[in-house]
Amino acid sequence: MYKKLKPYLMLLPVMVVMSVFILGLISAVLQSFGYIPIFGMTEITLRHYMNILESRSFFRALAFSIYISFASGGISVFIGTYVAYLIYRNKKETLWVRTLYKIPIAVPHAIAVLLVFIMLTQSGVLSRILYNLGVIDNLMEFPELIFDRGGVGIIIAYTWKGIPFIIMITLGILKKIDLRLVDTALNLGASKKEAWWQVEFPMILPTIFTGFILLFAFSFGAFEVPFLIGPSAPRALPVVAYIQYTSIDLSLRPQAMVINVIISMISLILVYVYILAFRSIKKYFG
Amino acid sequence: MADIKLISVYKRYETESVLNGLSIHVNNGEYVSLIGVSGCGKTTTLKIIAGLIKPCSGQVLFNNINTSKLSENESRAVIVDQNVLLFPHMTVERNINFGLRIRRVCKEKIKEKTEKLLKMIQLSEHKNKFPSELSGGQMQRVAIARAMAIDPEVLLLDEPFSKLDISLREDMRKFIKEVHENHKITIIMVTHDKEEAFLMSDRVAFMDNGRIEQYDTPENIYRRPSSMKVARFFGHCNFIEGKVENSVFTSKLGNYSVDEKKEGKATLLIRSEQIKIVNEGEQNITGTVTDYRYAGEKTYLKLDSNGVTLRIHTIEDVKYRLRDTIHIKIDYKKGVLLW
Amino acid sequence: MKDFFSKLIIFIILLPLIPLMLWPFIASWRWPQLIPLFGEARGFKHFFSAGSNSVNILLFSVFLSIVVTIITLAIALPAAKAIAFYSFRGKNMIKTIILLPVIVPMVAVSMGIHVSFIYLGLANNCIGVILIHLIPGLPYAVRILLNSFLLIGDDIATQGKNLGANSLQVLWHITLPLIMPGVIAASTMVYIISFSQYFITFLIGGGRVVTFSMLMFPLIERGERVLASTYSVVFLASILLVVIVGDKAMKGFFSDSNFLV
Repeated sequence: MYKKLKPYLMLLPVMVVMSVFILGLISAVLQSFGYIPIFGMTEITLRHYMNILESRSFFRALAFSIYISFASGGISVFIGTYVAYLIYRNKKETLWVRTLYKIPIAVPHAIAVLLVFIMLTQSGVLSRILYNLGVIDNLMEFPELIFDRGGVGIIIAYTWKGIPFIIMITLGILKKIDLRLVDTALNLGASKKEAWWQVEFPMILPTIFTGFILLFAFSFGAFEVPFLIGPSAPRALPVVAYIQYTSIDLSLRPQAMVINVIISMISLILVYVYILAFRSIKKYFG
Repeated sequence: MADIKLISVYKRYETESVLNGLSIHVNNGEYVSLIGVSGCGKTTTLKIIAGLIKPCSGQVLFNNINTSKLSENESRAVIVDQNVLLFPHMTVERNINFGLRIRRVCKEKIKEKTEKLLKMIQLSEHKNKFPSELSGGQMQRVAIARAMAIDPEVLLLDEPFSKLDISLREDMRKFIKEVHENHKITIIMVTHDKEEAFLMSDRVAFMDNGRIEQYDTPENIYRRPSSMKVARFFGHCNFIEGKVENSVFTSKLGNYSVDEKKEGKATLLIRSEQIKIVNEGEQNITGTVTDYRYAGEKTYLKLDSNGVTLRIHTIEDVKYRLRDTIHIKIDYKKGVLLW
Repeated sequence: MKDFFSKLIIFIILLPLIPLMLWPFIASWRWPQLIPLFGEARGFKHFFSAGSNSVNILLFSVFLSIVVTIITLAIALPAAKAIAFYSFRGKNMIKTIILLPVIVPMVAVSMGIHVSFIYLGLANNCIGVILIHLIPGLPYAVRILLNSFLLIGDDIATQGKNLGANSLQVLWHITLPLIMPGVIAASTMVYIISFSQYFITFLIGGGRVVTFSMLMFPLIERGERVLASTYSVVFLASILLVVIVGDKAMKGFFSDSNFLV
């Protein structure tokens, strides 16, 4: 009897912690329906959902969040994969290169924002360099890259951390490719280029895709970066949720939860997609 | 279809010299096995023919055309490895027609050829499966179909059956034989299994230390081995030391006339199965049992006769004991003189 | 050429860290000067001053994150072992649930659970903060340890038992040393994740539990270059220090010479 229960007992602590997580989600759902007994709200209603779904600013925020996440994830994947490919091809790459690039991964997003402040504001380092190179004549000619409606500062902050992350996981999976498969492709008539695009690249694609999903999901639900350098309109979704949550007007609380629930729903879809991609990885690499 | 010549091929790595002046000529449509102990250079030879490794010196000729300047992907010899190496992210169908797609063959032809090959390997219903869903034997068949799809001039097999279950090997051998007969393609196979080499090949090349020691038909290489090494590799041996003088071989076991003009010290090779246990009166040698091992199908015996140890085996179901006296008859005509 | 490109990208990525490390020592850096005017490390003075209480908060944060790391590892180890070596019903579902915090943001979950925490008395105190900190690091810890366990396999532990060791001895002498690299990687990851948390500490801690992140964040928000850079540099340095010391400590502790049996 103990034998059968053993794995479950070993998993008990982790499931206790995860149940806090799940309860958080369930609680958010309940609160989104207006059920917050602690505040005296006990009536279940769809009113808050209607409010949100009828609000144009919500959809602007949603679109903005999706745009930011997609752009930063996409750029990270493009540049990251390419750099990883170059490092992979150049076997003689020094140890320095292979360790240094990982630094941004350990740096928290808030500091990444500070770096954007330092480098890319109108009074920042890049602007000074451009002035001294004669490209711009005064401070104002440097574009506004923070607090801007294009979210450029946000995207750069996320990309700064995203590129090394993608390099890391891409190199990780490239290392695992059995090089004899490449030899086989060459022997069957493929050129080195064809072997890359027909064999190596398709094999690492699911992994790159999971990397994109992780970056997208993180930036989609993250509060700090858009709060620090995002525009006041449109705001990113987590920032909107936070503002409504901390509002003195407690009746906005359920609305905040609606936004949280929507963020979570979208994330759960991403979890599903992630799992599918993961299955492909297992199929290709055993 | 090609005839392959390797002339004086050398391949050296930093720590060792793998091929030391290897020369071999495989005829068009022939099935040749490369056999020898581990490390003798068989796989390296195959890879050089396939163009995956470049020799340090020497020539590789396909139909008398030197191929050493060609790049890896221009090889007309396709290699099938024991590790199979199917592309894990492609279905059976796409694995098979990979070479055709690379060569930009038109879609209808690709379809036609793929269907034909799928039928040949009997995996038509599995064409949309991925390698992870196939058994070892199925994967091996797909690998061969993939190789055949591009109509190679030479099919190179590197220990193709060593990772398969024994029961599967026979089916696969039959399959390859059929492919060989139907397509009349030149096949060079590396194996360490001598029975397999004999069953499948037109000729067998025994390799040792990066060179070919003997290259002949299975019958010849077994009955007329050129050296003790070759002899030992292919079967149980007895080496009897002696001398040849005036067409007579003298040894501790007696004198026998041999059809041999050369004179000097020689070793006579007699295979275990060329020694028969006979009744008293028919023998030419008597010996005492010094060891016996029962192995079901056969019993292996060691005999001592006049100081010479002989190894024989018998399929007779007789129980032997140590120090028994046994009468044996050696068929000296079947013996081989080695110098 | 292509080679150069990859080095270039990495150089560009690491470039911003240079001014970051300069700012704490800058007295003034008017636009468009390329070289700043260095002064008396204003930022560090502020950091070490008693009034700011920053050193205490830093030490407290390190301590908090170490506690979180230890608890997370303690939870993740048996979980990873169970997933690696046992087959049982619901395995896939459990694996998926453990994966969730990686993709579903903590923002929503922490806002959702906040009210319950308040109700249960877990808000505005360390216990609640530690509890909420356990969540984001767990999936990574479990995944890393799972890989470690799968790599070494079950057989070695069985071999140890066969030679007479009991479960605890097997764990201490055989299993832990073998998964040490995984434990170190997982600990590093969990520590950094916990130390870097802002939002969930801020929300659940309610401002009563102050971590170093919470000191740093407003400085960045206000755009105070000198102070923000100083605290950022201290932040990164402290992570580096803890990670290096922890790495050495764990390796040393589990090297075989420590065993008295």
